[in-house]
Amino acid sequence: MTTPVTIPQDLWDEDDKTGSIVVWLYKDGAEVKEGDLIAEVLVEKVTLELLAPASGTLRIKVQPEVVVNKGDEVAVIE
Amino acid sequence: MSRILTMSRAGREALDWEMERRPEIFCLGEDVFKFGGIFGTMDGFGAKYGPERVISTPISETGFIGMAAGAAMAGMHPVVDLAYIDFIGVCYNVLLNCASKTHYMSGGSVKVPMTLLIGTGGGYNNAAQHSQCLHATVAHIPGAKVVYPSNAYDAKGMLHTALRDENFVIFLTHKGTAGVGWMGTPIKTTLSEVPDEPYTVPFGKVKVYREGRDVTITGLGMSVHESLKAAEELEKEGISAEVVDLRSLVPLDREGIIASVAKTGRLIVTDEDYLSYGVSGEVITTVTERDPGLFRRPPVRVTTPDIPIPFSRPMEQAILPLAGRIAEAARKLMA
Repeated sequence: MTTPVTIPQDLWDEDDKTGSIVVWLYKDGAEVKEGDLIAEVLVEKVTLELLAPASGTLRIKVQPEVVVNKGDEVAVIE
Repeated sequence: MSRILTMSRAGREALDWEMERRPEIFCLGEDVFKFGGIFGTMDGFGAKYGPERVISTPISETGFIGMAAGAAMAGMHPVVDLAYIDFIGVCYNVLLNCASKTHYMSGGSVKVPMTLLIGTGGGYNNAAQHSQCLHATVAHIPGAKVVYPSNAYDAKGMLHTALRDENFVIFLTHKGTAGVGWMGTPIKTTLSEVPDEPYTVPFGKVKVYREGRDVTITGLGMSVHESLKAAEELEKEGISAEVVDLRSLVPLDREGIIASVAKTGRLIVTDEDYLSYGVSGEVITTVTERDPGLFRRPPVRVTTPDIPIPFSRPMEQAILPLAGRIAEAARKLMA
């Protein structure tokens, strides 16, 4: 089963702002557990936390420094 | 299990682990209760440990660092966030004459277990009063230990060591290496796989990031990462550079420096602190005093010159010891 990792709608308040991933805290292909902090997302100098929505193997789709919006799929967990 | 962490998160993990188990540890500094320190070392600690153990202070380094030294002498272990080393002048007396001398002057009967966290360095256009390194200024004080990790693994291990030390430790972090969001995307070589479990990294041992045959490049803090970039460029040109992170200024691993120069015969000392009267001179003297014959060519310093750090981006970039200047120095040494 594959679970998409998306930027949550409530990660930050204003809908018109974009963010970017600062760093993935696991390598592509690493095993993660549901609830693990897996990435930092930066929005206007504020660092926010992205948690794993499921347990499994992390497959990263969006690299750091690329603009992301709420709802964007940035990885999947297999 | 290990994850990839920034230096900021790795340090926070060490401090959190020690605070959970040792009630004598408490934090203080400007805005630490709500803001968690400028590098996030105490992020969330206000809510977790409460206002008695995470104390936001007025903007008076003289007052709160004096208070911390007194608390340490009375048996507590304060962890003080001093944010910018540029402001160390206002509390220098406490560091110079109290925190670093009391153990000696009391014949060993009064210890000062205090950890002072300080951010150093420039490279982000913060001008002459917020961009200095000044690590030589604190490393010059007898009685204080001074450490300077440059990656997340060392940040966690060395902070555990500092928090278990029974005397005064000055714990430096170059702002650009910490991996905090407001400084931009973290530098890859600062990130490490960090074990969940606590571990210590001993003070006084260099870390060889990369082995080489032709030239030794020593660095500390940010200049380690600029040296690594230079070493990658040099490798393409057939020059094999060994990159040595001093990572602890007091105690300094003089044997580690000498061993590397004995192998390569050439030395470039990189340092973002000012050129004169500093760590760069100390490193070169360390080798010279042992045996000047180890040098096949005269040693070279690549540092910030003895001028106030410019605000202008192009001017600041021109004076910092960045990879381009380091690589150029290596090419000249090999010519």
